[in-house]
Amino acid sequence: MRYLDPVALAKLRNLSLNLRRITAEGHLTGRHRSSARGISHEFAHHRAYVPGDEIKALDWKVFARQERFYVRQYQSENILTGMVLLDVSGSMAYAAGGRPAKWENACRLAMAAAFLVLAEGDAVGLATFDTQPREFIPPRTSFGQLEVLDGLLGRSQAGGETDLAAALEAAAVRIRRRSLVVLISDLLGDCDAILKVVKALQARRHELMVLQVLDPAERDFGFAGPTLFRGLEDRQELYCDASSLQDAYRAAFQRQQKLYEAGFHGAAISYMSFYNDRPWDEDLARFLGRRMP
Amino acid sequence: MTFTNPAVLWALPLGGVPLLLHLLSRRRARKVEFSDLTLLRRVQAQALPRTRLRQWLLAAVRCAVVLALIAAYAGPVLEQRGGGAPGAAAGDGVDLVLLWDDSYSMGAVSQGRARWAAACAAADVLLRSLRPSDRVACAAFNDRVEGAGLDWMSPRACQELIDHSLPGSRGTDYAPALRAAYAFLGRSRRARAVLLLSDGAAHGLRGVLPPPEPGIGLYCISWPSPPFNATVLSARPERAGSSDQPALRVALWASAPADSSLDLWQERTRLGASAVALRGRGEAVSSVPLPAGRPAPAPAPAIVNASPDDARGVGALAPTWSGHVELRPDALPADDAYYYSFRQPRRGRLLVLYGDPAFLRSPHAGYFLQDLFAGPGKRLLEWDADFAESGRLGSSGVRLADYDAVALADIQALPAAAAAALEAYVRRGGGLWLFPGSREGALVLGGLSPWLPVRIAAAEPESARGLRLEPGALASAWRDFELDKVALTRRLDVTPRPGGQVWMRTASGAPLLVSAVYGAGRVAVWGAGFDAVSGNLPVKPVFTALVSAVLSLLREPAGAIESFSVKVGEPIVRTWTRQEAAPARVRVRSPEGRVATLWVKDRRVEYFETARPGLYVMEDETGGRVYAVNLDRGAGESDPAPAAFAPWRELSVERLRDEFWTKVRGREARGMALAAAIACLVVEMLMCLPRVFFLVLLLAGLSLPAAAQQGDRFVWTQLKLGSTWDPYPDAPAEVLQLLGTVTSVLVEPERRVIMLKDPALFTSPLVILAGREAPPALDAEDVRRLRAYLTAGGMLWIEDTSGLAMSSFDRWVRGTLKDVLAESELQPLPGEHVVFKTFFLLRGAAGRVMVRGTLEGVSWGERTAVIYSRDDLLGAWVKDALGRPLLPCLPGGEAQRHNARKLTLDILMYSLTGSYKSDAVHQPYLLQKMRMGIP
Repeated sequence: MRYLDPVALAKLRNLSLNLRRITAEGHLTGRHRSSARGISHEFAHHRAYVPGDEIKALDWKVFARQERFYVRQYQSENILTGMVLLDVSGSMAYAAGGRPAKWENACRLAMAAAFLVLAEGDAVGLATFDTQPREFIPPRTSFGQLEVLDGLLGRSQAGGETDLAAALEAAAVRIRRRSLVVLISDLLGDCDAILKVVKALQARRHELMVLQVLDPAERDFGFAGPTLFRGLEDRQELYCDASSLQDAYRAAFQRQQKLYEAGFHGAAISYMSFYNDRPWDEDLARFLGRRMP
Repeated sequence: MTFTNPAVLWALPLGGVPLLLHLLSRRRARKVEFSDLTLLRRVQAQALPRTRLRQWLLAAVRCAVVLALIAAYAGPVLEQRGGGAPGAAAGDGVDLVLLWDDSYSMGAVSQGRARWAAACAAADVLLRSLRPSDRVACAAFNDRVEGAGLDWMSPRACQELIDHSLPGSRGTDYAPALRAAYAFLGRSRRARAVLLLSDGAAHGLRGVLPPPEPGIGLYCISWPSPPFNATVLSARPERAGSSDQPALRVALWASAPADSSLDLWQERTRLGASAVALRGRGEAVSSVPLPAGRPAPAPAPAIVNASPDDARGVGALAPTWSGHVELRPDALPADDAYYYSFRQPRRGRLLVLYGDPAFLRSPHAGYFLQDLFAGPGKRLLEWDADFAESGRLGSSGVRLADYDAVALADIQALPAAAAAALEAYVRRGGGLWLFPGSREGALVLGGLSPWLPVRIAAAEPESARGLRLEPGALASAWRDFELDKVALTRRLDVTPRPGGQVWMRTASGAPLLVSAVYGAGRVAVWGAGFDAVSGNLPVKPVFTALVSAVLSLLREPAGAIESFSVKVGEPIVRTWTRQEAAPARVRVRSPEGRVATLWVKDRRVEYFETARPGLYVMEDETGGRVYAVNLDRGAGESDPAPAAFAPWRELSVERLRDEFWTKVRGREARGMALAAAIACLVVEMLMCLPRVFFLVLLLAGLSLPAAAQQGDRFVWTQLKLGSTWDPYPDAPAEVLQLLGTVTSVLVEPERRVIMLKDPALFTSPLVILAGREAPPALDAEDVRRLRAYLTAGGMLWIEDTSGLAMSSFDRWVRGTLKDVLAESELQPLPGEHVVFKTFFLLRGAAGRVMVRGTLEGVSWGERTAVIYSRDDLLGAWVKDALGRPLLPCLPGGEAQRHNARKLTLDILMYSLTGSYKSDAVHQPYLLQKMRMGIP
């Protein structure tokens, strides 16, 4: 696979998404406790018999003691559906200082998230978006899904404009059941709108993980002198004296990051920034370690 | 402002080049691709006004740099406001009047060099710097302008004039010199300046200065701090008590308090020295007694028809004193000596001849008279008196010629020989005073009676009280005495003869005091006794006045001290009275030894060459007289204090030329322009260079003296003791990473390893000591430092990583802690100890292994200074290369590891926060923060 080599896979085997506590919905039997009652070995409770209930569900031992009919009900266990939402807008293609593009990092993170979900025995799918949803691979539980995802990411390229808020709204429509949603994006754009949409996803009872992929140049803004900036998304140009804007940009960037941290923290959404200059697997391990109860 | 090289100003348009470059640089912007411009646009929109302002400021500063450089090359000259030299900077000539002060205060030595010499040298340099277009006029001045007046001359001639002159002996007055200079420069239309080569002292501002002339700059040399100077203001002779040896009353002045000595010289002989305490800027007086004076030669006999032997007696000549007093040398040597020359007339001498052996005992008159002529300090009359029995007259012990007057007291019978001697004595100029005693009997005066001014009959009783003055007597002299209360019980019947003048009578009108002239002398008769039996006169205050009045009838009072002193420059004048024999010529010998012969004309001679202070001797055939010539102290030349409010601008004597031309022609501003260019360049650099550069510089500067400081970041400080001091090298990084993630503590990623002797020990709030084997025993210095660290607020976390119930490290710890903190024991920490809830709430201790199952600690005051864990807390943090825990946690497994990690963070937080969690002072803040929705 292009984005997961054996060394990365060996490191990922030490990690876990720790998804057991998440309640799942669906028809496939899995390891996650379902919100519905169904067939399993996990006793839930007794319920008074009502006409229509299967006779085999009657608890005869209780009838012998109380002479009233009670039905045994069991906790249903389903698989969890994981969806990786990957931003393929032009800004994700940004690379600076000889480092790999953010897109490369984002693909590896997407593959790692998919692997971790599959390792839990759950299903995982992938949806890419820029201004609107692009590719969509429905969730599957087999490890062969990794090959499918890797092939899709290998074919995809970051480019074009982005409207994260609109794209997430559209993607949310396609994720109907309660799922684990892993959003991988640089979150560059209207901060308030993005927070609003992500919180809306959270309101649909999805379990959300936001992985922000950034390049250190976007944080440090190490440009100086008169500079003509050209945006990778809208291809527009901006002339400015980078030296004079350095401090203000850094302060604004830090402010934006703080807003994301505060917003996601308040909504109990797992969030972390991944920078290109650090090993992605170490950051991922730290991120998952922080999620540990 | 003018420019020495104005052609360079044509380059001023080059100042716009930076502006042009700035505009052109917009087109040469670097093109950079950036991920998303949303944030950048927003930032630029907010910062645009400030950015534009900064850019334009930057362009302006760069333009200013170029303009300042061009201006510096053009040679700007700033003209002085009111400098009085308009046009001087542009190259026009300057009219300069140089006035040099040749008063004697210019001879003051300052910093090892006379002011006069320093001023001449500075003037020399200044004159050499004159341009051909400049003109100069010069003149010397003191309290007047010397020479023929001001006129233009060449600088060389002016320089020679100054070099050939010396400080004189006159005082200073700037007014006439300035008046002459202003009048001279008033005709000029060029730049004008007056330079005073003077000491600028306040004593020169005696006269009314002329008002400053517009357009004329007035300058004067300024000197360093005024030197110390002391002077003898005066040395006046005075009578010293009752003796004939006079004293000098010496007045001294000094510019500052000091102790000095005063030398007394007579002629050329130093007689001695006395210590004097000088007052600062005040007058001190010292009295210097003089030895016996030199008898003056007798210019003319005072006694008509007297033999030379007689001349020695009655009317003998007064002795003279001459010499000088001198202070220690100081800044101004000229005023340290003061010359004196005077003559003090001799006192009158009275011989009292008495006939009654009991005359000197009370209540006889001698008893009371002795009181009047008693010893020094008690003497009431300016006479010296000797008392002798009348029988001794004619013996070798008593010589009438030695006395000015003789009193015959209580004489009843006078031998004829004695009477003859007295008659001869009076006839040659002596005085005779006759008064009776208290004894009864006829008065037999023998040979005296014929020439006495009275006829004396028998004594008569007197009943009336009081005395009455005759017309002609000086009534005012007796005004304060109660003459009407004088009671006489008996008196002689005195009848004046022709020629006798009655001065006083009794209340009944009987004559009492009669005098007359006999020969060259005088005779006075008092008709009553001075004893207490004859009346109350001797116990009345008028007794002294009466005796004095009688004696004044017999001899003219001794004259005042006659001083022969003139000021420098004043002529020595001597005149001869008609009674004196005037010589035809006199010779005057000056202090330098020059002798001048002067012819006496109209009994008067004048000598004008008194330019130097000293003793001038005027001699003739009969003798000589010494004149003291002194500097005029009244001019205040001895006071070196500068004028407080001087009308001139001061120029330093060391840099006279530079400062003078700077004042007159203006100040070159090339340096200022260059400084402005450099300042603009620095500002440009400050605006251009990133702030982080200066921040780094600042931090580097701060870090030099405080390299051990970690600011507000937590530094994992580990003690290096023994061979197993670092059992888990990677554990600190893991701990710090989690500490920085889950808490708000800022951590320093690099750990610090120290020894106990390291100074950084005292800048580390927490020190970790780990090990599994016993380190070497601590020496006394280490124990002392560790104790000082722990008692001063530091905390030590000891971690036994052996995982054994009994280890050498454990024994070492317990033994060492007893030495370090002997007052407190190592005890298990209870479960409610704040360390278990500092950040995470824990039920107890944990670790990689559960050897002890609890923490131990040493308390110091209200805190735990040492925490000791034996459960290998750090071992729970160790991971392998793939991020998996390296060592298993026994027996609790991962839950135990989790608790061990929490306990590790709790210990670190305890070292940073102490007992704040149990104090719960943070709860209100957290609650408020939660209510406000702040994460």
